[in-house]
Amino acid sequence: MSTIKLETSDGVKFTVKTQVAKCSGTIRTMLEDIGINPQDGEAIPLSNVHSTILQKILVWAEHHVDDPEPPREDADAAKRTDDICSWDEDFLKVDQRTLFDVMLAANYLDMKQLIAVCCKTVANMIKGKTADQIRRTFNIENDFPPGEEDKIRLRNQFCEERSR
Amino acid sequence: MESCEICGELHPWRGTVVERCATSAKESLPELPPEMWAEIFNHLPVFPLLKMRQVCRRWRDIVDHSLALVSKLRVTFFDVHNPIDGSFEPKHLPRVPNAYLVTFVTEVGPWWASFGERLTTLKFGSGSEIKSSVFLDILRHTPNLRVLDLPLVEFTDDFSTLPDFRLDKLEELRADYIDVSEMFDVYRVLCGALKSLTVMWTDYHDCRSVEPLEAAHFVRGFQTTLAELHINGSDELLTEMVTFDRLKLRKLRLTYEELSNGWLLVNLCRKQPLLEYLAVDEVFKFNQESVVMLNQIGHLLPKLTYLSIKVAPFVDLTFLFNFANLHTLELYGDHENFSLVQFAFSGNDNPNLNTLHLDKIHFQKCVFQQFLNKLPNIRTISLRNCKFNAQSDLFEALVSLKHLDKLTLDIQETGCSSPATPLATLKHLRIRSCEMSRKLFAAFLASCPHLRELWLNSRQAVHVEEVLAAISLQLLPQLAVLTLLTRPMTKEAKYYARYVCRALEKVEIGLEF
Repeated sequence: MSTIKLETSDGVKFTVKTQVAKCSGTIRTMLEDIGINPQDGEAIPLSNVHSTILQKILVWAEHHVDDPEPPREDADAAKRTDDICSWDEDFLKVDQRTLFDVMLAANYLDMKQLIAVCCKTVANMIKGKTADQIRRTFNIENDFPPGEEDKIRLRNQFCEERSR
Repeated sequence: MESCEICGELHPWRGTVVERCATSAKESLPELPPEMWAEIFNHLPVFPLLKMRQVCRRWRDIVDHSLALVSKLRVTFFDVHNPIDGSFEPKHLPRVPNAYLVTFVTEVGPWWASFGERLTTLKFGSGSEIKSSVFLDILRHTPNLRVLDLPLVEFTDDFSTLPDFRLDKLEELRADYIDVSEMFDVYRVLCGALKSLTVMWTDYHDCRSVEPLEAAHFVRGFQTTLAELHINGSDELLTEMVTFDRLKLRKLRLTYEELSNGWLLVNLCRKQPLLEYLAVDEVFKFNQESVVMLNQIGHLLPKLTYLSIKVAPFVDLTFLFNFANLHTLELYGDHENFSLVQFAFSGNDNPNLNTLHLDKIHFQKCVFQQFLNKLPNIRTISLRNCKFNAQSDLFEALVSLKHLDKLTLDIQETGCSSPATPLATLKHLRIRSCEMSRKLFAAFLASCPHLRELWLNSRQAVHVEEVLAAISLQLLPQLAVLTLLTRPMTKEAKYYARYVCRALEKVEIGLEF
């Protein structure tokens, strides 16, 4: 079985099955389009990904390597967040810093399915909270001038769901 | 209150959402790029999405600058007591491309110019009344409009002058209250290359105020671009439309007036071979003699995926197999009587049909099952006011479907039973009325173990109790959306229902109808 080497930002080298590494669109492009030839043992540098995060992502890729191509989503369809499989749910039970690092790395590595499941996880963290609770959850500072938030709330009252 | 899955600590707010502690709260979290936040927000329903605008400036800007997100929103002016007049001056409206004017407008101030410029969709409240000059003032400032929806909008005076501008980007117009033929002139000047047109000129007293030929002339003006048309059917109009050589419709719905002769329809179909959608259930009733017309239409329209028709008593559904690419069939029975349909067909299956809406149809014993046996890929079935010799017939037929996902039905008392084997694929269930005994209803719910959405309209409290029992016993573990319409409930009963359903995504409790 063919393998390739990946090198993370902190200099750690991973030997990975090629098929698993190709879950990453970025690596796939490097191998297929640009024609990087990893046979000579040289590692592909992933300068934006730390070894702890890559390790985690490889666990995910290994589990999902045989997943079928997901069906194309209708852009207008309401996006569900309750369809995260239980394996992914457990996999993403991590502290927020790790979750965000995984998302950034998945973004860099172009792993659409992992990004999607992370986005759903964060959306679930947002649902049902007040603005203040959201700020505390994500450690965000309320940078509106006093009174501005109330004004936005009032303006929001004009808005509602588009019916068509 | 739930403990955090990471640190075990109790967080100060309740909820079923995944709680996560910011273990790294002291140091700042890694920052996600705006497009990633936008993708996260894209998974939120509208009200939480609006709340994101309140969190901080960065998030507000992320929402406001994402076309995918703002397109989900529209600004609604809904104050029905105070009309919008010259003194109305809203500030800082969200930058959204859709607007809905429920409030009557007597005058628009200068704010409209900058707001209107961004709009691509504008809808007026149904039955609005407006002065012609105000109407034109509003549209003068909406140069980017693609959709203009005027449901039953009435003009309180005549248009003394024609508009001196044109909505060049307009693709879709709905004008279903045309009471003077001059309106056609106004819309002809206003509209550019329309792709979709809804136009109606019969008022509710059933007397025409506009001649069909004038309407036909209006439609002719858009024939090179028009793909979708919804219009009053009438003999004269159809006769005239057959002469439109450049008209290439994909979608046609005819309403209101009954045609005297179904061959007019066949002739029009011969001229419109690209039709994918045909709804003629209001204008013609096919009986056993005119089924031959349906067979012809099936051959003339090879691309047809959607068909909605009315059938008179005694029709053999075998015509359906001339419509090879049909995805959706809507079949309406007689207004006065149920239409008793027959089905005797031993040919091939129709593999494309996935959606079936039946209204006022009466199936003899086993006919429904024979019919569904020929339609193996049905995913959605809606049965309104339908009659079966025994409810068991219905369930036996449904159980045989391998892909049934959505089901709408009335459950009668006669010959009630619950399905012998579970409806394992069913995710969405809508019960419009229910006469089942408590025991049978409970058995019925238990036979739908994978429901995601349940909608129940029932006057019987026992049905509501059984739904709540099924939820608390976790017999419906995937249920996320619940609507219960029933007799008025006490405050305590409502509180209890909400408590039982606290883990669901969306719960609505209202009055039965």
